[in-house]
Amino acid sequence: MIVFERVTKRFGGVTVLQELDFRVAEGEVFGLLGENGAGKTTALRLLCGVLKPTSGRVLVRGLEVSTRTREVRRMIGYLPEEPSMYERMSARELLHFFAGLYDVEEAEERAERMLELVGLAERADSKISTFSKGMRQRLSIARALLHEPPVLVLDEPTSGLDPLSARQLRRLIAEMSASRTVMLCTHHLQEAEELCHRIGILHGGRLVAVGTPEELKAGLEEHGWSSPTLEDVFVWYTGGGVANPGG
Amino acid sequence: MCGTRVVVLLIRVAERELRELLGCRRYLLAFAVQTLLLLALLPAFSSLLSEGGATVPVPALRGFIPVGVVDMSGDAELLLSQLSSREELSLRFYSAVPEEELRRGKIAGYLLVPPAYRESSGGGSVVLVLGNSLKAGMLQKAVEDSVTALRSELRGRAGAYPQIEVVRKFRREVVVQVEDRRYSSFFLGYLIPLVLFFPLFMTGGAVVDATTGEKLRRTLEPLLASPLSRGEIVAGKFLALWGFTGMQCTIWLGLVMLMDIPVAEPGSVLLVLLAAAASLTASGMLLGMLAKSVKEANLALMLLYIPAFIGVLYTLTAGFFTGFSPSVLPAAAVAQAVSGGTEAWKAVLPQLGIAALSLVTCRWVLGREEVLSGSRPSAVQLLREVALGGAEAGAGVKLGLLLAPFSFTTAMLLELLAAFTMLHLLPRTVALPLLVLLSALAEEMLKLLPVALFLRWRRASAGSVLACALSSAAGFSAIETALAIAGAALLGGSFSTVAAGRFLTLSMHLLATSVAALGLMRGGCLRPALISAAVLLHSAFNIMLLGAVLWV
Repeated sequence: MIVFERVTKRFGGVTVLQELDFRVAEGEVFGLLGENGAGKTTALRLLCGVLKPTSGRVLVRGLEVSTRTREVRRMIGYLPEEPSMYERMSARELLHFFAGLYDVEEAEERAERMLELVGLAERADSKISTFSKGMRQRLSIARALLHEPPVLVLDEPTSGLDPLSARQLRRLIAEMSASRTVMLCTHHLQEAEELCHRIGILHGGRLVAVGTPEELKAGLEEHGWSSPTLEDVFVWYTGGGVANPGG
Repeated sequence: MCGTRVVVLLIRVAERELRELLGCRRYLLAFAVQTLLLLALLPAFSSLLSEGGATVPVPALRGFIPVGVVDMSGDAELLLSQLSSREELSLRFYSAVPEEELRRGKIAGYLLVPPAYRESSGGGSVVLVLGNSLKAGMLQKAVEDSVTALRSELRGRAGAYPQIEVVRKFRREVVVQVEDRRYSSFFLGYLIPLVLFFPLFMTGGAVVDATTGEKLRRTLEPLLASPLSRGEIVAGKFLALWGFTGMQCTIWLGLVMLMDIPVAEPGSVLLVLLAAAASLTASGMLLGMLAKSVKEANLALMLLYIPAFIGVLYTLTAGFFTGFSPSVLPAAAVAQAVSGGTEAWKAVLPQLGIAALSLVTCRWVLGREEVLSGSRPSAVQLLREVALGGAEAGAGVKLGLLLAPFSFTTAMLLELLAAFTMLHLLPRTVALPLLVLLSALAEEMLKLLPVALFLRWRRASAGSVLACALSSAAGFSAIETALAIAGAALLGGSFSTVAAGRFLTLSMHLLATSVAALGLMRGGCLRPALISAAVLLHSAFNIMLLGAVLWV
């Protein structure tokens, strides 16, 4: 479904991603973990065709993103890290605008359904400038799902949200991911464990570990850790392999 | 993707932008206030200038006022010598009445000395026929002052005591009369075209908001991840901003016409204004895309708008006072179209060219990844990309050509600064040879800059380095040549002399820079020796050229 084939990305003289190579299967929820600046957002932007790889290629359903950009973008619903939207528009107007860009049939009905799904039907005609961050994030999800994409790309979806809003959003993502392939990056390890089938850990632009949460933890046990958490796994791979505090 | 679909997408993006603009009260308020000011000011100016006799102080420029003289008496030596002594007048003698020259604005008026006029035996009357430009008022004052001076001079002499009288004849007191309204040439030929350009400079805020604002608010990312291409995003934004400015231009032109102010060719006026709006909007968008902050974008736009506005003022002033009004300039084309008779396409095509170039660059900038983080590529980074990417020789040539404008401008500034300082501080016999040497040194060093960067950034072959050096020298020389041709065109020089001189200069530049580049490639003693040889060659050429010019 999603293939990263030896993808390297450089900005100026800085290598942000190096030889990134992994696959995400159809219907899978794949989480990318990594410290700040590890290259998570860059990887997602490459997947959406917002950026182009310096070398290597990214494929979605067999289509190469940098050559079949428009078709690939139609298959992807993208939630960027910042839920920035046109402040002077209402929620409904925003969805109608994006429905137009994605050629969504029966755009009005679809927009209403999305607004109901994310719990914003009552605020459909309010200006986005009056929305809280949680509401903006939910509206962003509605926008990303509007054209019923088979792939959902979420960049830190619960970042900056209060626990309640974050929980609501996680529930929504879990519902959405039942019928879609999802690639998300997050700093919240609990969220990753809760939502993702498999997790990849990025460190300094390299993919240093990939596996299910259980596989990753088991890998750490092989290094002598007892009952490691996902946090231990993360620290092990990104902090240079510290000694097992509980070992 | 089919054309219809692209058009639909463009319209959707443009519609959203336009709604954003029209939804902003401060733009609408600013537009309303400016329009109301226009409504109030135009009638006031119209009334003030309707008599056509407005006079402005005469600048003390030599030959600023061209005046025709028809001496039919042969006995007006003192009067003509008095007029010749006035610096601002440029006397042109004719054997017949120069009505055609006056009509075409070549002269501000003419002085007719009739056969009966005799300075030696009591004087007589002369006739001053004035045109309808502001210079006419200045000419009248200059002639009257001359006559007064002549009277007082003659009063002291024994015998002759001529009676000189000036008869004023305005060819046309007013240009156009509509019912009971009369409009001066200044009002129609200067003020109205100037007013029509105002809306072009009123949309800076909207341009910044749609480009820098959107970049910084990070609302671009969802658009970039949508099926829209970068070109469609740029084109959609441009259509909205251009449409907004175009709408304002149309409203202003409509208001001017509603006030019964006669605009001879409104269609041509609007066409030129829309073309100018396109180039200004597209250039503004490019600057907005490149800016890192709203503050920086506003400053950049100010640096674009102020010279553009000054350009409009200069064009209108030059056109009105000297008749120099090339239709390729939008302000000149609008002024001509207001009075009737223009070739609007001459102004339209270059403006559309600038707009297209700006939009293509804008699309390229949007494709740059730095833009997503609110940043922009630095000039050094871009140059490095040119030098490091593509075929080796091609990269060297591109680098040389890209840096040529910088090398040329910096060399000229340094040379001017050195000339200004040294001629003030040192005796000329010392300053001049030193200046020749210094300017050769500055030019050679600056032409070597791309070569030095190329060698630093890329392990290049001698052939590629030489290609880089030659392109740098050729680019430098091409700018010199363009300026020399423009100078010859403006000042009436000989093109064949310019061409011969430029050919020699180009040969010298190519030779000297190749020698210096060879020096740069070689290490050790050869480096300073070859670079010095290039500077000396350049200096010797300059001395020869200077000698040739002085000899001619």
